[in-house]
Amino acid sequence: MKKYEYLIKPLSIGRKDKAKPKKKTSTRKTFFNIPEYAEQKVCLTGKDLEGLKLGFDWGFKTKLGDWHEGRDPHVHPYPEVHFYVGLDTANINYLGAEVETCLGEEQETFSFAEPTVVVIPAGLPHGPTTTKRIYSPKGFGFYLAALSNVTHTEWMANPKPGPSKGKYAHLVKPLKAGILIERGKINNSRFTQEELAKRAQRTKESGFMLGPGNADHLAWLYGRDLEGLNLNLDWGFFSKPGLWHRGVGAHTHPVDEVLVFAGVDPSNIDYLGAEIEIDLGKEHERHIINKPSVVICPAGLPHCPIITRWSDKPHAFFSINLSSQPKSSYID
Amino acid sequence: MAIRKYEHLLKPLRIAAMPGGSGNFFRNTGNADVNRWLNGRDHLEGMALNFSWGFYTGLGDWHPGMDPHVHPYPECLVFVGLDPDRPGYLGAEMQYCLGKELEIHYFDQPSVVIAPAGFYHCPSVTLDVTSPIGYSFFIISLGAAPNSRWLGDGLSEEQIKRMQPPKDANIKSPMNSTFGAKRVHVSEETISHGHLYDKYVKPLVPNTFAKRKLKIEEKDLYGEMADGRFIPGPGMTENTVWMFGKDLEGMDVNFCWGIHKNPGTWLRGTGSGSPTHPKDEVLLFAGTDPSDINYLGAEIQIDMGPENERYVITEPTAVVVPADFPHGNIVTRWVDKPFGFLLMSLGAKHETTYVD
Repeated sequence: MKKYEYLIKPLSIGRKDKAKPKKKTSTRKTFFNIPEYAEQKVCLTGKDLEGLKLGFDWGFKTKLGDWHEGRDPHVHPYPEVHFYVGLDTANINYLGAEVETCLGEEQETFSFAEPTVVVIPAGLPHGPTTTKRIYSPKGFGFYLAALSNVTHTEWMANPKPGPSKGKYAHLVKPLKAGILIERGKINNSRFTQEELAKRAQRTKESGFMLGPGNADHLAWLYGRDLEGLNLNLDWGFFSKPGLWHRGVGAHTHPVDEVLVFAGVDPSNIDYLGAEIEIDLGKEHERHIINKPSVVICPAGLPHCPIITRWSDKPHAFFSINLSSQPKSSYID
Repeated sequence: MAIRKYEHLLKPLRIAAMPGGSGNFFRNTGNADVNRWLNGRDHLEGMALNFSWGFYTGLGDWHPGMDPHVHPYPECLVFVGLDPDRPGYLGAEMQYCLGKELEIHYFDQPSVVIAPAGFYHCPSVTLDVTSPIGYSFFIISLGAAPNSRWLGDGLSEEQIKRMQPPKDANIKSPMNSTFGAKRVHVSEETISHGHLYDKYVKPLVPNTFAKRKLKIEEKDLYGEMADGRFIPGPGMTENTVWMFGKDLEGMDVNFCWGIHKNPGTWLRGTGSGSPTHPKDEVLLFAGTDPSDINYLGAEIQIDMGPENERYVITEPTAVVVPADFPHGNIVTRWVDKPFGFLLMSLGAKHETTYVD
């Protein structure tokens, strides 16, 4: 066993729908009304993540209706961030569905039809959440980051959605506001002048730049976008082989982080469609990922470079970093 | 600056931006992120042609609840990829219904779907998009004014109201829509899985003399262009596909499509001679950057008229070429980003005669 192997876990350890029979699908995909796939989901907590003070869910939504069937609203003693994302890897701004979610004791209803991020402060009742329409033959994706190492949910079972009066509107954010890379090009307007200067300096010193394996499309939200949470996280689609960052090797962060490599095939949540290489530790111990996996990077652990060796199908990637802003120290 | 003699024949695609944008109308569908639609009535000097060009990344039905539909004219629906080095790569997976039988077809490579006049077609559904930049689609319709009759039973009254022609007679609708009295329901139960219309879906495979030596019988399709005097120049692309009337179930049209990426003349050996054709045609120079449909990424020169008046194209443009009008000697001056070239000619063959 390699020294850092325990830090890479297949997402399948968090499968919540193992007992459900897979819906029989025809040999050929067809689409007229709603997707033909059964919903699939993984939930990983701190226990799965070497005790890190975070957890996450990731899954495919393909059914209409209330997500928790009469049990909402619910509340957690820790903050969460919810990502409603599309599975159209050519267009990060396409959700392919209409969703309604309620926030606060007033159950203010918010509707959206584009990829959206919802910030849930600790103790804020939320839900019910309802999928009203699905346009995409693949359904859509949902990823949740929770700032706790254990799950604690209090169900209030009193769904009475009310109109939106705007009290919680600041918690609902279109993902497009956080787009950092679109069609392989960096959106520099996401950076402050100071961040731009730092990047320019690093490029000058080391030739740092996006590599050919980097994202086709990527959104990155910082604490300043997330109501001041000590959290920065991203969501993106990748389809090309090659190095993710040119001019730099490994780096460390002063806080814990997880890197999640997820597939986007709604018929099989265990399919990644690519082979990715990542180095862990100062020894540059090389690991190969070819199924949906999470890489746990405790504070101070050197990690990277990341190289996509091959890609049969585009895949998703998201990282969750427990700081309001990414802080990286490049060590080689 | 004085208007030059043939300037009116060069039509920048931006002139056909749809009022209000087409994006909002078909938001959250597989339809175009952005497109341009030029028609003979308003943009192409009265030619019996309307065509579209657009970029697509969305998933799902292109016109939810509205299909199938018919037109009073025949048309080609052409799905193409945007990778200049992989002409066989569409980057998407499509589902398409054809005929009153709602016969379902699938394809995931560049293809043309042929719809004769009055023929039921669609729903068109994008099942998946695998290219990170999506794909492109163009329609070649043999009518001067776009005209559709929608037959789907999922059209709401509100949709029908929105699609009514403008009340002001001076405003011409970019698409004249009518609605069938008898509506068609599309579902797993009403579609069919036969092979009646296989002939209406054809893959696009590079086939021109830029890539291979033509057979004797094929030379007739090109006229003097293929009589041996000319060879492909450095500006030509090997990835061009040319579909003639015989490939398109007898339609009175031929079209040629390819993505060009190198500078230079397109045909060597033409001297000062210019080609003419007995049928009207349109030459479309279009960019391949889905984030900016108004960006061409290249500079191209073309001679127009017996005077060989030279025009320089730097933005996506359609060049209208009336029958028997001398035009040509196309030279790509520089290329920053590969661009697409689409020739649409209103005859089953591309009969060509060179004139000095």
